[in-house]
Amino acid sequence: MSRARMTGLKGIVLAAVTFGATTAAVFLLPQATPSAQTARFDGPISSQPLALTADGATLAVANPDNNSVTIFDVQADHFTKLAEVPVQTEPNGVAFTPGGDKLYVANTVSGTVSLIKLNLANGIIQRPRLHIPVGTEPYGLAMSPNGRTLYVTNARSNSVSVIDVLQDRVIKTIFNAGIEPRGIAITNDGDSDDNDETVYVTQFLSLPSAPGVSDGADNAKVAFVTTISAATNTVTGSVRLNPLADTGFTATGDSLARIPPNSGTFVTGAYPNQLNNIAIKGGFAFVPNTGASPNGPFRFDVNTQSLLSVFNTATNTESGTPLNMHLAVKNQTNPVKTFITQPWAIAFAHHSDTGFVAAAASNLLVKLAIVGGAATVQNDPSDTTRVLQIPTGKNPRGIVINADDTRMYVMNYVGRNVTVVDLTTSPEHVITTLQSAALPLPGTQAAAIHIGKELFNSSQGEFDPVTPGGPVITRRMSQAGWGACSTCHPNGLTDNVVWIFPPGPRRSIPLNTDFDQTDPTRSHMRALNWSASRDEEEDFEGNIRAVSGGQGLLINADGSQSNTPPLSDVDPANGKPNTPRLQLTVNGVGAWDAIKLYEQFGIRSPISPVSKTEPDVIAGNALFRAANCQQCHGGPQWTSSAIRFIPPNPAAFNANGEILSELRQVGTFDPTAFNEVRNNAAPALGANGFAPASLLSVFAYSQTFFHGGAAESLDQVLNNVQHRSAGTSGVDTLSNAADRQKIVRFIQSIDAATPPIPIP
Amino acid sequence: MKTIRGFARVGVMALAMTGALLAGTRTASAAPINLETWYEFTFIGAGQPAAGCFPTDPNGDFCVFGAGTPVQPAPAPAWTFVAPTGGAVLTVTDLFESHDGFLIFDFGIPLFITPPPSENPPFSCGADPVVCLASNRISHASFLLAAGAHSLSITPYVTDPDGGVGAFQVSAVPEPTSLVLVGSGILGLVARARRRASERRTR
Repeated sequence: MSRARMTGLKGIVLAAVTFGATTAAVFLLPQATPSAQTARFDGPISSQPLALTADGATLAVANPDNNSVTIFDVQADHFTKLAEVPVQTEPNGVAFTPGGDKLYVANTVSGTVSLIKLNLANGIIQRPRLHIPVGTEPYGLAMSPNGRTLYVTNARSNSVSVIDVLQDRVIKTIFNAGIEPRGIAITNDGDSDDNDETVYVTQFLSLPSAPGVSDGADNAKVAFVTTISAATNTVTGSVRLNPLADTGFTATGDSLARIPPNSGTFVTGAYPNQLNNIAIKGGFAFVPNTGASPNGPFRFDVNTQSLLSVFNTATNTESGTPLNMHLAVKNQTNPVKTFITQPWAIAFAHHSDTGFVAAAASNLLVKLAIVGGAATVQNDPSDTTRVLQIPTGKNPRGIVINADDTRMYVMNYVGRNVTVVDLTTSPEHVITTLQSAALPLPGTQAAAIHIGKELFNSSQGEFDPVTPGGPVITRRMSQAGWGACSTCHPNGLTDNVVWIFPPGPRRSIPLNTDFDQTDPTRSHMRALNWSASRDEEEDFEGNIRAVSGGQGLLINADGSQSNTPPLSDVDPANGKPNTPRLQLTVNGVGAWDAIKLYEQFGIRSPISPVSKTEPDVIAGNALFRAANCQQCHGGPQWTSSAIRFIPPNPAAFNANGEILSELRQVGTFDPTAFNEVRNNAAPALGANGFAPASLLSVFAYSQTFFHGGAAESLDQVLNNVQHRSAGTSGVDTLSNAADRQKIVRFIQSIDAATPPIPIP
Repeated sequence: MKTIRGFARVGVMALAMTGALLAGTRTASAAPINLETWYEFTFIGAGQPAAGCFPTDPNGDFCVFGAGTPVQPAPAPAWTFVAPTGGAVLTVTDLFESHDGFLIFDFGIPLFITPPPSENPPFSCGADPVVCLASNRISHASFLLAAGAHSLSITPYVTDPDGGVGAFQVSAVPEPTSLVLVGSGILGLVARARRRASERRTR
């Protein structure tokens, strides 16, 4: 390690000793002079929630739920926790300078990057004294290889902040960096000049493949990676990542082609989505992502896929077709299979053509072998009947590998710990786990919410045994670890995919809108689903079983794994409430109770980058009220939709399973649209209207609006005359396009800090 | 045991001026410390008063500790204690790299100074204060304190630009030892006075 340090007592400076406000003594003293920093990172850079110094001696890990960063001494496997440093709110990214004298932390909620100065050789880690304001919701951090420039993705303001490390200030904000910029990778040609490097930034959610293409098809959307020149710090273009035409998994019908289930064998495709991370190896960039395969009919293995998209960094064009990592598990001969669900992070060894992908929902790592731009998932050398799957802690979300390729560190978000993997053995194996931050105290509400977060983010789940001391119950959340709630609701929000569900095309709804977040008890819930077809969170037992193929969390009195209430019993319209049903438990907390608590208290609404005091926002607010938009989109949940009874209330549901009183017919249903079809290929529900969408943080999910994604912008939403006139008895008060623009601006500003507009 | 050897090397005049200016000043907070206990403290630059270790001192920074001699994180200064009848010995040492030297105050009055560190070549004694005390290249010093109340604070006069940590300990002086210390101090002063007188005569 070579860091800035004192090399001797040179020169004379003026030093001041101050006690109190007014008294000071000044005298001449010898003073140290720093030496130049010479260390640089070896190999390309990738943003992660944990970071190593260039020499691999020091590890920093973000603790998003604890608002802190933990620093470990990992030199020679010391694994000593040096400090847990408080930073600002929700740190998600960390980056060291190569020498380790500075650590930067992206505080997502605070909109800042904290600076922590370290001088470990002299025994001190300073409290952060500088919090550099950046954009809205900074997420990813990546240090340029020579350690002079720090790049910050601002996920909600769609920008990248460039911080000069010598000055510790933002020297440029790169706007138009794409929608929801997240992961960062930087090339590294090994010289001291980083002006010849390229910065790549993933856009988290995919976008329509072309104007006018509605979602619902397996190729409806494409993903993008923004390219930025490090010389000019300007956007130079983007790399388009295309759908996979054949996932290797087949469906029994084709809903969009109006072919019902059990009609034969049909190839399914998937488009890349949820691009959280990116890493570069050998002239190619690799982007793990959750492929969306929204066309029906559903079975557990044809909804989401585990994709790895690749592009050539010389040409910035996609290389071949995405790899579906799930196929490796499908093709293994060992019948005990755990799929590679929600691939969230990736890292490569420095001196070999191997890498690792963290499957966040399945709590495991898989190993990749790289040949050129082609990656293959590796089998376990000690048991070739199966894919090598290295177990991690709960919900792995970041990976770093030290420079000599001997140790890999994995940040586990829910576990709040770090898995340490020895890379010198075959197969690679876990040698220890480092607790990074404290878990909530058992028995508290915080602990119950955390259990809910764990289950929400798990494709398997781990539950209390039927009898104390017996084997734990697991693998109930999905079949073979295929799906998790988070697979379609990352961080409790939405993948923005329009799925061809049993009632018809339905865009995943962000769950931060389920409960009134202004109510401390979170007791007010909206009617769930676009068709207001569910009145309890526990009703989504149906999704665990029917969509993800899991055995579910509700149990009968004997608590056995195999004896569960039939799915028809769970249906909300059958008059049997699910809330009091017996559930599997985790640490004594009911599994569904915990998931509901997480949805009530644990999901944060995205923060809007639009100022509440912007003139157009204020004017738009007035126009919104004048048009009586609040009739459907008012109240603290920004929707009129509500459950106004204590379940069960079968009389509230019509024959279609809709709570008719919560639906609004506002001209957003076009039965002739190509994606207005049910999962079983029958005509879609919608003639009765839909539960009004919540406008809370709706700005965050662009280019896919309405239940079926028919509108690609808020402008298009307001172009619908019947819709915009619904609050004024059909009288169009918003025929002026400039007025509509102001309403759009107001809607883009709505977040949890916006005062709700009461429903009349 | 080193005593106030460092004074001469940075300028008694400067210190005297400092002492005059600082007389009567006090640190806002005060925390009691235990005798016979090593405490680690932090500093971030020359001339800036040292602090305790976070989180024991919310205004301090994080201290790196070693596995050897037990060391406690210092609370927020000033560090207060009552020296027993026989007096007490205050020992202050730099830790880790040999970049740092300290001015020590009692109730804001300059008490003593540790000698300038030896920098060529750079040297680190690690986190153990006992190990650091054994090295002549690490700045450290001890001072005899009278019986009664004391309120200590420390300001580094030279540091690594990125800050660092040091350690201090207050130990009660057994009566015979204190007599020896006082006696040796007097003898030292007498010897120095004679030496200087001799030097003046030879000019």
